Amino acid sequence: MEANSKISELEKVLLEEIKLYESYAEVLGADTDLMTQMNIDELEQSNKRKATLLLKIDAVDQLRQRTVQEVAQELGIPEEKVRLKDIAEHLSGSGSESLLSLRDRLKSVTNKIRTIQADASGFVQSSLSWIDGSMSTLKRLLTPTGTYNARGRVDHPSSFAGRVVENKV
Amino acid sequence: MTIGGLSSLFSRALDGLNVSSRGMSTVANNIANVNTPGYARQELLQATRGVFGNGVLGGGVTAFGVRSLVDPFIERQLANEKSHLGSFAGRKSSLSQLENILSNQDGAGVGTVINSFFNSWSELSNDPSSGVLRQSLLERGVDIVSHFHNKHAQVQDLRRGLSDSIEAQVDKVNSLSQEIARINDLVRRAADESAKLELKAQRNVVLSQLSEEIGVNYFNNSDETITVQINGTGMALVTGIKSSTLSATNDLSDNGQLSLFVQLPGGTSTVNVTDFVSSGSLGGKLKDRNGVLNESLQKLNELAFEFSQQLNAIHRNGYGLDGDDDRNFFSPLAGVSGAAKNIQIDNQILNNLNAIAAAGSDPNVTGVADNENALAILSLQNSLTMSGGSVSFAGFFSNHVSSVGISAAQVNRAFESQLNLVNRLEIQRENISGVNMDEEAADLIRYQRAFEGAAKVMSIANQVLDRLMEL
Repeated sequence: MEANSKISELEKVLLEEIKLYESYAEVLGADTDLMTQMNIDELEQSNKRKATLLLKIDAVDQLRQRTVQEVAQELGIPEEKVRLKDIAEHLSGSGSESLLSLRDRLKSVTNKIRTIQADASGFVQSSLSWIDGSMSTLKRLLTPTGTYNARGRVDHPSSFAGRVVENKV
Repeated sequence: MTIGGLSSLFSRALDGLNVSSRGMSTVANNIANVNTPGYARQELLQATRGVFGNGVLGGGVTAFGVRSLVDPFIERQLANEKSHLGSFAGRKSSLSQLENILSNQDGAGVGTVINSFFNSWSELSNDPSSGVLRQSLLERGVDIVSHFHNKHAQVQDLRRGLSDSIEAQVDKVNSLSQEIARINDLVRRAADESAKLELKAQRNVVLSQLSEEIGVNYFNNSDETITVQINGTGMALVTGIKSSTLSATNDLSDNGQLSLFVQLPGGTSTVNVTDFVSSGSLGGKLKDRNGVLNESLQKLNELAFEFSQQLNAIHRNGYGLDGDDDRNFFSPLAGVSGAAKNIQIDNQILNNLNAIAAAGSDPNVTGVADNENALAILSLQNSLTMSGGSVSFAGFFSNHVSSVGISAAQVNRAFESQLNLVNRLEIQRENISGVNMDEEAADLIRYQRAFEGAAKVMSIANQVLDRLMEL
């Protein structure tokens, strides 16, 4: 009876974890559009939402790991490297199917997240490279070119140095 | 959550990369062109791609163009007002030079030398037989002649200089027209929207330069080329990828006009457009070249002719100390044209001071040199001899000098107010089309922060996901 209760608890934890990952995937999926549209306000909000979701995921994942260990203890499975698949093998028909189904859903959503994230990551890296390049261009434009002064030394007008803002009418 | 299949994810990611790379190159272009004159800030136009099926994440993003932030009304108004500014700038210099030539600076004006000449007649009337006073009168006469010659030559020099300047500007107009036609061709052939916009920005700069030289009207053609016409005419300087040729012919005679002609591309005949070129620096210079400078030469000629004619008419009635009459003081002139250049003291006077006819009666008969004719000539000084009997000799030219001075002052004022207007329009244009480095720099920093945030979140997510490797 204790094992059944623990398995039921594990299923609840897995459902909660799947829900959180799906939420994360949803937010992440919308990021590409935000980034390409340069919608920085929304992107910053999205970053906060994702960070919050990751904190929750982390907490639920630790709970999942604890629950898996407890179930493994109840079922007499060696605790080292215990997997959901190992637990399912010790369960009867419907219990096993239910757990494997949840496992598949979790794997599916995390795979999707990896895929989206791989795309988004390339995108973010190329964006950061561009931003760095543009920053350099900006700095170069606002830094005066050295010239020779009357005595033949290179002269950098000090009034220009460090300026980030151009002259405006 | 519903997410499309992997292919749709890849498609969206590809959209994103394509759009973002275009967006980024647009921003980079803005930054790189911050100091390019006439550059109009560009903006990427993007929209959400249509969603197929039941996906709720959107179908990605697509860029449907890049646009320049340009207000066509301000651009057109700027071109127009720059033409007027160019016109005033062109006139400002020539009118102030003409004013300096004609005015009575250093007591050397036409009115001054005419009055000095009449003063000498007045002195001679007090002692008509005085050889010293006759010599002095002759010298004042020579002063008048050389004054007419000098003023005529100076005005002609000014007119020649202005004509040369107009001819040089005609070459510049041709060169700018050819450049617009060349850019038109590049715009027509450009496949990339961004390159097209850059070419259009370049074309705007050239168009702005052209409108400073000559007043133009322009409109867009369906193939994104522009047609540029001389303002107020249908005469095109640029039609698509072809440009017309503007040429000038300069008639050097005193009343001669400088005329401008347009030869359409591929054509052999030319059309006189002189009367239509009224704005731009070229229009302003042309107006002075054919207007006030010719008028000044005409006034000098009229004055020289009338002055010599009327003085001769009275002089011929008088008698010299030698008892002879019917002699001219000035050599007779053929007509008004070229009078200021051709006026001379008659040789009989130059070679014989006694030929100056101060007496009304033959001294050989009366036995005394009277001053009747000298007084008759002196009466010319204040007689209303010019402009149909409405103004004296000195007054006639003084009126013209005043008129030139008033015009010069008006043009100076108009130039200043026009400059203010153009500056205000430039600021308005800058507000719309200019690249604001503050904004670009601030945006870059915000992009950097947001993208770094996204990268960090993804890195943490990867760590969490790694824990799920073995389920």
